[in-house]
Amino acid sequence: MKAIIVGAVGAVLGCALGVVLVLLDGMPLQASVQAHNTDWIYQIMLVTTAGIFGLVTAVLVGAVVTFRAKHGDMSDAAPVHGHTGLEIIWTIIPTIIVIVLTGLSWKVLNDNNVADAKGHLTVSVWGQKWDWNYDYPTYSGEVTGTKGTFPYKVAGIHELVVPINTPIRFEIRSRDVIHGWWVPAWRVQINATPGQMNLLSATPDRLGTFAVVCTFVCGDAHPKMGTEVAGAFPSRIHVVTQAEFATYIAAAVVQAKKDASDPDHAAVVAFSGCAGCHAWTPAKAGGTVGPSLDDVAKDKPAGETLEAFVRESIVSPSAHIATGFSPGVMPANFGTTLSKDQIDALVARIAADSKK
Amino acid sequence: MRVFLRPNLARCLWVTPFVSLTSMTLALAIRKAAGYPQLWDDGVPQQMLAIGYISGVIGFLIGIGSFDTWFPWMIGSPDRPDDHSQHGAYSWRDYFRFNTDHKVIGVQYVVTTFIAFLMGGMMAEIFRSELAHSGQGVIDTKMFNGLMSQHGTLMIFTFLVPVFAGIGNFVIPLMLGAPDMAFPRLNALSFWLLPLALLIFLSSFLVGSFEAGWTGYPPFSTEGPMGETLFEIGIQVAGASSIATAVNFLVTIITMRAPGMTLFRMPLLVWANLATSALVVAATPFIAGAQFMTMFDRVMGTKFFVPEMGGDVLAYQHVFWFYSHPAVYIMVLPGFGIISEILSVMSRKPIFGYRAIAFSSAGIALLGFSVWAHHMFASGMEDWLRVPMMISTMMIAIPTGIKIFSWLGTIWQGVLHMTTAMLFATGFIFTFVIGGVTGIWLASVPFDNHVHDTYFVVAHFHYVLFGGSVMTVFAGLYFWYPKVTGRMINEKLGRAHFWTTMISSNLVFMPMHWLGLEGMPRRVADYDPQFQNWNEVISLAAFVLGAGMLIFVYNVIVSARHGAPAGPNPYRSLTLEWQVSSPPPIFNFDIPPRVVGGPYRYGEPGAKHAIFPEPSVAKERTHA
Repeated sequence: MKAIIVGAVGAVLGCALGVVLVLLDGMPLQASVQAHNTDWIYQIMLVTTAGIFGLVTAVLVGAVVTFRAKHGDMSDAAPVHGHTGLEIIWTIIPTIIVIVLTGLSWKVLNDNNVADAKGHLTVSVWGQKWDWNYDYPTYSGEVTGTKGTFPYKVAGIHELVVPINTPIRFEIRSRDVIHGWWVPAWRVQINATPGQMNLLSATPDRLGTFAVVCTFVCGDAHPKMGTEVAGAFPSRIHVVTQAEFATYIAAAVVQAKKDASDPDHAAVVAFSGCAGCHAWTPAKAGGTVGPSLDDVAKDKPAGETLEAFVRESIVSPSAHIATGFSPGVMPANFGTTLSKDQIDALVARIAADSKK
Repeated sequence: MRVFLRPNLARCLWVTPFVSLTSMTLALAIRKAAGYPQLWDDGVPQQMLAIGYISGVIGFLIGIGSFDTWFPWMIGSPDRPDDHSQHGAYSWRDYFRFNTDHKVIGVQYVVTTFIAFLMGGMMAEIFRSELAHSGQGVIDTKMFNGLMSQHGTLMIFTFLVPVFAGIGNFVIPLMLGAPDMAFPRLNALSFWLLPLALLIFLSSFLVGSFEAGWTGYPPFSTEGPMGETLFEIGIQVAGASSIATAVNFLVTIITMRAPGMTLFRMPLLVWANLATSALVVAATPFIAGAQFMTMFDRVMGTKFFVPEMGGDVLAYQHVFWFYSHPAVYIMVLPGFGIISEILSVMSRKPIFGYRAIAFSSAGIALLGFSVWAHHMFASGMEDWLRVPMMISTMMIAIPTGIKIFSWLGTIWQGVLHMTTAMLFATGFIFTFVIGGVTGIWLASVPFDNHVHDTYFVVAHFHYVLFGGSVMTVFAGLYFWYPKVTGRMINEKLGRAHFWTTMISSNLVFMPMHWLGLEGMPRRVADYDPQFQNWNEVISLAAFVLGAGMLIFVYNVIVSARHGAPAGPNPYRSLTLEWQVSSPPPIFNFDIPPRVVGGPYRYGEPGAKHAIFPEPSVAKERTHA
């Protein structure tokens, strides 16, 4: 009987501890519908299981304090082998608790999924070493100009702009290894897995700028991938009003159509894969993992044209290492992930800027 | 010179490189004969590394003498009756050779795994000093990834999984009333694979350490440095050791019980080991398969995990976790068994709900096979698969809860002797409940999708594996120390070790929960400066935790010489290992015991677990 009282007191104290922890709130700012849902189930689980923790701790501490053997006490305790009623109770009550928690979690899981909700916006997310890139497939298309028909892509290079209160369907892919795309303020995360497209959805409900974090170890600059780490060039999400988004996307479509046939700007677009690690003024990029591209000429070995050096540095990056940097850091697959046109344009533009 | 011909470590010194170099030369000769390109072409060094290491393992086993009986038998030489010359330890040298005595092997296991534990811990201290401050500090990201991966690998594959095989090796045959394990030579072979696995993992630092964590997910692992191949080979070696030991335990427990030792008279550690061994035998081949496939992708050019060639990256994760989730129970079920032993003896009270605890072990082992994909809630596997995995994961809390409540029922109204072993056992319940509770949260898919692969997960599994498993290991080591050495361990130092471990480990792992919730991902060499404060606390506490381990090492060494003589049964325990001298006779029982009742009949006047039909050491039971 005493055990039950101690246990009950412990459970109540545990739940109280749970409530205190909920009030202290260790979570980041809630910035999406999913964040509200997830925090709700988190708080329910926290309070319930803190009760279990309190019960166990109270009985444990109570037993150790109360039933400690006196010095030299060689007696044995009463030979109690079990209590069927008690054992049934402590099987059934936890069973009920986990069934309820499972059901509620299932409901939240379904509520969180808005990938096919009416009026959703689709965003493609591309993970690659070591940056995130985005485009809007709905707004991409083809443009016919004087020189022929060109596909254009409305891309949020390195940073993403999305409208508030709109369900967004993220289609997440990887160009190399597995990455993890996590927006802590939205409470959503999924891996970018090579060879397949993963779906994730979120409905942002707070304006502002939010961090994206790579959660999956992916190599040398993994800690800097998107994160607000010192020296990184963080990739962020900007949530704007729907009107602002309409303006932004309209301008972006016009720009994308214009750029589609402009090789010089194509270079800046192709630069999307470089911005996570390199600084380059024309693309407003500030990464510090690799050398700055504003002055590539200073690392050029003698007897090589600047164009040849830049091309070599893109397709086989370990051939020549800039002073102060390590070999094997830059992925060696840009020769295959970028098109020939993109590489040509990049080489021309980077070399031209550097010569100035 | 004869020392280089007899089976021992000296013979390994030349047989290992001989077999290894011969195999590599042979492979190169075949390549040349076939007209394939020679060394330093793409992939060739990698292949030579694999061939050299795998044949080196076989060479070492030949050198140490694993096959000295089997080879003559295979070629039909006349039977040599076993003279037991390989059995038992008469001097310290006998611990460094191929020894078939389960007690020697148990000590060999525990010492080897403890060295791995200290090394893994040291690696953690190094990267914790990097993480004490945000920004690039002591080590670069490559080194960090290497140390972090080695830390996990050593702790899991060369410490937590085999340390219980070590404790079980010493204790289980004694508990069953058996003279040894069922297959003593296989037992010695299993042990000698273990230091090899440890050396293979560590030597990968020389060729570029593996960086993909202990999980080794492709494609990051398949494109990683050469050390990744050594990781894959090391897992095979440790896994083979694990499987062979488990088979040995299964056969021993099923066939070698003393007369009268019915299943429900077995001590609960034996039950736990039975369930664990079944798990090991059924699950370990899956990680072997996973590592073979990644290794083949690396050295043979297969395309299992190359998406552009039709490979499937997620397939690895399914196969890997089909072992590695049950592995969590492999690392904790034997610990549960140890706790049941200690709580009952130290409370002078029968275990509460014996059958419920025995069946919950079996239940956890069975359910443990249906939860693997909860590690993949964020991997992009089929959406619908997440719900059944959530249900089965939540359900596993029920048998685990039954165990915890039964332990509380055991100590309630007992006569509690708070020895160091008992402190660790009760401390274990406290920390393990925290890890169990966060396990329920992580089972919830929406919550997991927030904290997946963050410090929250790091906090959770350190509460389970450190607060859970490691605490039970210490409890067990303190508990059986007198049986192994014949001397009592210093209780004052023991208590100091317990309280430093308890306080500092909670200071290390508790703040990690908040870091994860707030947005700090795991496996990063650097982090957002906003997480600075807690990381400082964690690193500081981690150094204290490490220092606490030195108290333990000192205590173990000093007490072995200066501890008070223990006598056969210092705890007045009923189970069989305490009815023989400390340390036990060379063949355990001079007179075979006969089991007449349950193992935990404390408080029943005159009750016995076993009798010795002839006058025996049992009569010398101390009543001190």
